[in-house]
Amino acid sequence: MDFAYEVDTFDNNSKSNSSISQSDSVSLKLSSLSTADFTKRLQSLSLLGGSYLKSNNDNKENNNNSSNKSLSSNAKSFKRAKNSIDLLNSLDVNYSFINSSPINNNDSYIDLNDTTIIQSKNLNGTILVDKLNNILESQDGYDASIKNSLSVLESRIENETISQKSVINNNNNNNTMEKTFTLQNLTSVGTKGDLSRRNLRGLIEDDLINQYTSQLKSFKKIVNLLENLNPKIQLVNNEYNDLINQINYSVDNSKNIKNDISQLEKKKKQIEIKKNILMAFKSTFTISQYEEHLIRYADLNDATNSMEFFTVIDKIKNIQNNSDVLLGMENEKLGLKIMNQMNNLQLIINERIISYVQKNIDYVYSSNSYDNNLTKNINFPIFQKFLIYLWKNNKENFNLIMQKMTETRSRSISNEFINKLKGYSDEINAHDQLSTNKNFKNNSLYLSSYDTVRFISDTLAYVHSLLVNEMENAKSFFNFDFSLDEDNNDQSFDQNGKIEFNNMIGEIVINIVSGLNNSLKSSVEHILRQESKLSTLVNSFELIELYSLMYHKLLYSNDNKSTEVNDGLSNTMEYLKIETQDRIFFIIKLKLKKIEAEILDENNNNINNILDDTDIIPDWIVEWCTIIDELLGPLSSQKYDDNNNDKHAIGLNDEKWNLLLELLVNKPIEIMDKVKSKSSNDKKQRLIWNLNCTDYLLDKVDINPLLSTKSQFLKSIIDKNTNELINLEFTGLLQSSGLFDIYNLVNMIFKLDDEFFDVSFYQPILENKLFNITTFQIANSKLEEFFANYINQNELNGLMSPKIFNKVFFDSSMKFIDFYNKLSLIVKEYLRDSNDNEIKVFQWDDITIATLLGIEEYYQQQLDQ
Amino acid sequence: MSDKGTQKMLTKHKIVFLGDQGVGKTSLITRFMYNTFDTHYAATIGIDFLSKTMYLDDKTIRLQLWDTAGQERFRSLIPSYIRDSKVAMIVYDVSNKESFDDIPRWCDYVRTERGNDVIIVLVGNKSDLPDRVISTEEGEKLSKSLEFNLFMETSSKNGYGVKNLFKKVAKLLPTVNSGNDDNEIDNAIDQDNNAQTINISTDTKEPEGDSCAC
Repeated sequence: MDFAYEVDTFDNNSKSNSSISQSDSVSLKLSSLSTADFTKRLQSLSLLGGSYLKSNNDNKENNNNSSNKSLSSNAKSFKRAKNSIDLLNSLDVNYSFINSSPINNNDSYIDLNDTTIIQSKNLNGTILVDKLNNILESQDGYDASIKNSLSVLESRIENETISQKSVINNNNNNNTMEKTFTLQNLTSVGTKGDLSRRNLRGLIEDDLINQYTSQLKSFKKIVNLLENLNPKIQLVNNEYNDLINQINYSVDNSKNIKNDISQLEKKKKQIEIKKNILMAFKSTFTISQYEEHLIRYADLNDATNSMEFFTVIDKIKNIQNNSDVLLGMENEKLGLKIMNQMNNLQLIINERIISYVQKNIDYVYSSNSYDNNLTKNINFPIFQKFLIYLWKNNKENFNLIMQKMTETRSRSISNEFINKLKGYSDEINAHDQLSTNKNFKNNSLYLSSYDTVRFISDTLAYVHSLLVNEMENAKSFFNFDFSLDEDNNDQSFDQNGKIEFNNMIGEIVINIVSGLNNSLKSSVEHILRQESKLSTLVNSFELIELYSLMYHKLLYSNDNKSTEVNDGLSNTMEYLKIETQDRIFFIIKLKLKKIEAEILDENNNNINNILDDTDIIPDWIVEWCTIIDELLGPLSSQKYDDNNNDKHAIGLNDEKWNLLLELLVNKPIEIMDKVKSKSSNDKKQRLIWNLNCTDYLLDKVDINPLLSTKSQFLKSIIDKNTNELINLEFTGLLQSSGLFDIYNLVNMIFKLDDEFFDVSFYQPILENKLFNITTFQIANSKLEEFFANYINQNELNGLMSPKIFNKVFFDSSMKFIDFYNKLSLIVKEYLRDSNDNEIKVFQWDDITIATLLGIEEYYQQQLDQ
Repeated sequence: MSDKGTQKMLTKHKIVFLGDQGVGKTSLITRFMYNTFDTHYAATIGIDFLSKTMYLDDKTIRLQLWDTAGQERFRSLIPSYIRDSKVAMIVYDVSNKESFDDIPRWCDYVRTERGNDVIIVLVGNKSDLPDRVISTEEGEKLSKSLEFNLFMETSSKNGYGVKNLFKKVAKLLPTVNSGNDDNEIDNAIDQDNNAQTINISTDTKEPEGDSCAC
């Protein structure tokens, strides 16, 4: 109880902080206490601090940590209090003043609980208790700071004790001695001591009870409150129990519902699974209404729509691919139905794409041409994508579309071409009327002048331009960007595609231009048929051949590897070449026929007249040679194509070339022969005429390298005719000289032409009646007459060629001189008079004869050799 | 076809190259097309065709180049090609007086076929050769006297002036020059009635920064 008091005193008087001297007894005792003991004693303060704290903590629920700590401290404090009491007892201290202290002084407790005071002095009980605990629990209690603290505390306690006890002492002064005595008895042995100790114990117990009661009193209010709460809590508990019961009842009752719910949940899960499956099925095997709408009605030219359109196409493709799974199921009806549905959609898609491409392909293709008129708003990349789609997935229709496009384009350019040709024809007609009009403007493609070569040149140049234009169009049209096709990841496919499209360019251009074939054929053919001039025809042929070459170069250049099969344009050009060749042949044949008809007309008496003037080349031969010049003159020996060396001029093969040469050279010779044979003139005249004509022809043939092969033929004819003329002239010489019979006679004995000559061979001549003086005398006289006019009146002068003339003249003369010499030797050997003397019948020797024949120099040279 | 979205069609222009044999018409075209030069001479047979797309400022044009043979025997082909060409490029060799003297004849060819409805460009080629016989002034003078639209000297061998020539020619073209109507060529020509002469000298280098993206 004294501790409570002390503490209360301390608390109540802490504010005073006075320097009042402390009670002697207490001060002495305290001073006499060892530090440890005193510490233990002070430790008992924690009881109060703990109580204080505990009460505080009850009020301050938030301070959980300190309350926990204070609880443990309380337990320790109680224990220490007990120890302290025991210690005090052992020290035999006089606690009489304690007994007299107002134990039940609630005020002191109130003061003690007045936290404001404690707090105001910064004497937090908890802190003090903690500090003290630390000190007491530490091994060394001799720390200087601790001592200082303790001394402060001691002084405070002493002050408080003094101030309190000064009052108490005034009231209880009388009992002090008694209590001191009683306390003194406590240590005494015997009954007195026992009684004293029992009394003390009773006092302590009372004190403790009172103390506890006072402490508990503060809780009474709480207890009352709790008691007041009790019925409510009971009520709540009851309610709770009721609720629990109700819940349990409900739970028991809801078991069926639970089962239902679990079943429904299972069903729900199943339905969800089914739903998911169906959703997956729907997304995998069906298309939405919007997608179907896109397929049926989307504007394919719109970029967004077309992209979505292709997405739907991909989806449908996937569905078709995935339908295999459905078809593999036991019930394949669904699979079949979906397949049918997708097939139908695919058909619609194809139809729409085909329709779109067909609708726009002509416009897209032709939009590159010069005369394009861009009225439509076509999305070209989208168009290309559709075209590539068709090419990949529907090649048959792609080919059909391309074919149709080609046909349409072909028709278009064909019509355009025909209009140009029509313009040309109209212009020809209008030209005469408008030629005087200076304001006349040429709107046509072609010039107004009517000129076969110009027409063909213009026409073929137009086709050339058209070809170039179509080639450019096609290249531009097939310049596909394969990256547009998003689902195309195969680069090799790109390459193959590009190669295939490149090859397609040439084919399409050829097919388009082939539309011109008929018009081109007919127009050029028409012009060629009207043309009769060989030089023009040859020029036309050269133009056609040149343009063929240029077309070929364009169509089959390195960039364009299209196959050279069934090329309509090349065929047309080839046809036109052949047509031109045929026309050339036709014209030549016609001219020949005309000549032949005119010359060989039975009623025509010109033949003899012609042959009368042997030194005049007939007009028809001159004309014919002009024709040859006209035909072959423009032809250059240089060929355009080195690979075409098997062809002759005008593109003729061997057979046709030989035929042409036959016509050009052989046929006139035949006509000459016919004329010659029909003529009634003498042979010599005819031969001379023939030689003159042939030689003229040879001159023309010789100067043209293209006719070189015919030169030999003509030369052989000339040689033959020359020889014939030589023989004829020789015979003429013999006849004119009266030696013809002798010549025959001599030859009958042994042929004079043989190189070997021996007079003795001719001895049999003596037996012939002709071999007499008279014969030779007549011959000699004839020779005199003949040689007098031979040179001046010789028909050989009609030979135009000096070469032929010389040959005929020299050879025939030489032959005659040779015979004359041999005959002279024979006569000299065998001709004798009656006296068997040699008779000189020929007055001239061979030199003289040669001189008379006019070949003395030539003969002399021959002799020298 | 490469344009995304709605396609803008290329405008095509025909250019015919005229001039005597061996003046370098083919070389000029080859230099422009492939930026190469072949020292080996090969005579052109007939008419050759080449085309090239040019990007000029914000416009794209396609030039169709018709390379004619200079040989006399192919002369009859040429009028047909002059007739539908918008530009006639008459080329002469600065080291060959004959080729220069023949220019009036070539001009007559063009005028006969097209009248004044054509752009005529005079090109003095082989300007790299040291033994030139035709001076730039003579070329300019003739160009003015014949009322040509443009005169330039070039060298196909070293590429001098070639790109510039085609760039200038492209700018003279009606669709590039004025608008979209081909019929505006008359206006374009009228605007250029005074021959546009590019005064150049052979020792200068090809102007850099050519915006022609060909």
